[in-house]
Amino acid sequence: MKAEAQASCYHCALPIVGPPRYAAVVRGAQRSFCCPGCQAVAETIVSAGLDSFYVHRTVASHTPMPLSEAVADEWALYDRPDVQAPRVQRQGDQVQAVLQVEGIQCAACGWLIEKRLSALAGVREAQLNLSTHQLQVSWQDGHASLGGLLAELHRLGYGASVWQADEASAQRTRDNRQALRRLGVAGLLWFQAMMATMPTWPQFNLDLSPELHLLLRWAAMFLTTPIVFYSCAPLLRGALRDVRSGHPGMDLSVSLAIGGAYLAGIWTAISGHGDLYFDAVGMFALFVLSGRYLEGRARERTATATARLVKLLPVSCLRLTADEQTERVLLSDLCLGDRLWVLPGAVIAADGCIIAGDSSVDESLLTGEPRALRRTVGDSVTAGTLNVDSPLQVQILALGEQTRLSAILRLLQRAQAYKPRIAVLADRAARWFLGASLLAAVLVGGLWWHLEPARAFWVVLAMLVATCPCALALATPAALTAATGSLHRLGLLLTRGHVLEGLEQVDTVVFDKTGTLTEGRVSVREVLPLAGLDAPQCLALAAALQGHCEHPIARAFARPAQAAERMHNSPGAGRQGWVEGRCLRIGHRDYVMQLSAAPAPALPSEHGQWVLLGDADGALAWFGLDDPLRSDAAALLAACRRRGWRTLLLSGDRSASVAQVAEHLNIDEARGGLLPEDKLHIVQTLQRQGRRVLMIGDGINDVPVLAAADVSIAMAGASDLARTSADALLLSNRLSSLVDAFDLARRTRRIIRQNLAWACLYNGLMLPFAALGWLDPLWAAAGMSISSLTVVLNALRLGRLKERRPCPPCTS
Amino acid sequence: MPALYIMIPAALLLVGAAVWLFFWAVDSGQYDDLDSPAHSILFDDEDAPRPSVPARNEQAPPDA
Repeated sequence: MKAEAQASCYHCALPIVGPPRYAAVVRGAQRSFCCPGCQAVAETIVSAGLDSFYVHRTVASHTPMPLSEAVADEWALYDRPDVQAPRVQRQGDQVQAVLQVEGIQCAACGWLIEKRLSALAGVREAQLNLSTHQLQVSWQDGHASLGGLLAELHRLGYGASVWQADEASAQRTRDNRQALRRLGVAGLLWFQAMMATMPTWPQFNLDLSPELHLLLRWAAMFLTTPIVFYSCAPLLRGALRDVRSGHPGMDLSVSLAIGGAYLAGIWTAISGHGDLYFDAVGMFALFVLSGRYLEGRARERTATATARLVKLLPVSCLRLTADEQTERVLLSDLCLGDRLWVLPGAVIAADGCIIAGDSSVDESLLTGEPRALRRTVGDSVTAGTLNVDSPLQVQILALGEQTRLSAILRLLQRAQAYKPRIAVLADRAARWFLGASLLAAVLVGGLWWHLEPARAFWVVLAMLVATCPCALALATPAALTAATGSLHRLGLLLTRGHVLEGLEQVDTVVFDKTGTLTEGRVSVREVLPLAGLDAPQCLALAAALQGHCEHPIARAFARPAQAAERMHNSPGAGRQGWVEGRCLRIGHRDYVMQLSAAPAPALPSEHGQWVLLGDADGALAWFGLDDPLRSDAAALLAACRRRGWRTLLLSGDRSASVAQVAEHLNIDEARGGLLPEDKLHIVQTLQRQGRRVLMIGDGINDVPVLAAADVSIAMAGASDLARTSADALLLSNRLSSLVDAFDLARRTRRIIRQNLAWACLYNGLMLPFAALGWLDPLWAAAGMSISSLTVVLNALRLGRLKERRPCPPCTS
Repeated sequence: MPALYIMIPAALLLVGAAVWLFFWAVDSGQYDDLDSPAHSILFDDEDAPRPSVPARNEQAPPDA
């Protein structure tokens, strides 16, 4: 029998296995839920009168995590004044904190959280930032507590942790505000400078008195000076850097035009001779700075959203005191030599050595090996790995910077430093362009110097103004910003800037298997009853035994209605427990059959993973476990082949399923049993052969490869570290979004090329007029605006997504 | 056009005020989050229960 999904949970849309057991009335109808957690969240939402959340939301919610004792202890810890003090800001009796919330799916989540928290007694304000998922909350001291707020968020189905500003993100906020201030100053002052300079243009034919002319010139100079020295400071510094390093770029080109126009303007303002180009200075500054700002904002916004996700280690852990009692302490309070008490399901907080206990440890962090390995007294364990079976006592040998985890982080940084750079189209265009325009200016200037020395300076200035590449400076950022917005709507979050351009240069794509091409969670594919019980009964018994266990295989079974009693764990073999007065075992064949001493049944097939359920009378059922392929994996592979990309499957998994997946999806080459170093080596070898590699992965063992690949994309469910080292994050978790993203990348490149061509064409057309001395400030301003506007409008076409296929019908 | 002798200094003062106001707005974080406030307004409008809600969103979408 296939474990079929009959209904899906009203809250999280997961399929409900077996008859629905949990129900509540939401919006006037009886709804069923998959687990008590979802039911409790829905009841909380309804009782708070916020049930219209279910109408507003566009995406199903996350399944709430069951409340563990550790989390509740942590909340209590946060209410201690000494722990709370460095994490909150106080103003009188007002306390303010920033919480990082997990599980935000759409804008309705923000609405729900803000509404609910604001209604709590003592809470003054709650504001959620939907792009960074940070909740800013302030409350009256004594009337609400930090731990209470975290608990309330948990009741709404969201995880949350207290966020502390690190230096890097504070710097980003400062930089962003600084850039905005520069842009604002350029805009505000430019309008006024334009007002002051326009009356002096001969085309307006105003009969200005010499005094008024003087006043206007000086007013314009006064207004333009802050634009040059405040707003354009980064451009001027960039130009200086360009000169020193001998790599002329866009900054130098723009600075020459701005500086030339400004200096000539001062000369004109004082002497009263010549053209006034002050307005051009403001216009250049505004266009170039908006381009920079748009680009920076699109890139930084996503970078900050992911940089905060690195939470490999728990906030707190259990320490054994001298009298063998456990106390919960924050990680920062640990010392070398302390003894940790690590409960099953908890992450080990420091490198150390086991001094008591026998358990299995999930080290997928280091090796990518999905199976938990047996660890006993004397073995060493590593920070960040997961204790699976039974409690362990660990003596701390290394903390913080000295742990192996930090070593991996350093490996990651090194890999990132060696990442090959994608040649950016606009940079090359700007360099080529600068050379050409400078050469033309020198030649034409020299010619005029011979013919009419008095006009030579003004002609050269007009040429510099005409060739100021501000449309060029806007061309790429505008296209990238529009495309980034579209990708965001597709569910692909870019965290580094080169992805769109890089995707077009890729010729090899490397996939990880587990969690990328497959769902990444083991589920029950088949139930083969061996005795009198039918499949649902066997599933219920297995669930009772496996429920509340953190083992990856145990999670394949639905959460149980009833839990087994007198549970006993045999690491590496299975579990035993009593259900309805009957002793049951689940796990490895030999272990299960020891109970009945009956002959063991044969494995149903060589493929896949099988666990056996049995009781004192013999075997009851085989469960075929499988990590199913994602439904859209085949479509993605087809899209890759259409583009002529070579496809590779690199997996840490040793089992035969690597070859099966590769065969099923028609992947060119597949290798299993690889360590992170091996994967990195393979990818770097490919790169040395001149290939451009796109990596799509999710595990921590993919991290070095994600960092080293030319372009890398991490799945939404990826480990935190993988998320930060990848260039883009697939939030929608649908591989089909990637197919659309590839198309969009192609369109983006086309539009960037069109924009660059247009910007060059415009400048090329203006050049002869400037060289002949026909260009005056009016025509320079008009031409500049039109070309920049054209480029921006052309780029906005990328904001329109192709009409999506109609949504797949609801199959619930 | 003697009025300009007053208008131009007045314009400079106004620009100064506008720049000051803009700096204040940036520093107090008004531009830090441009997405969320736009959404929150939308939901508050619909707080009053509507007589008939189409069943489309009532069924949780299949893709979690």
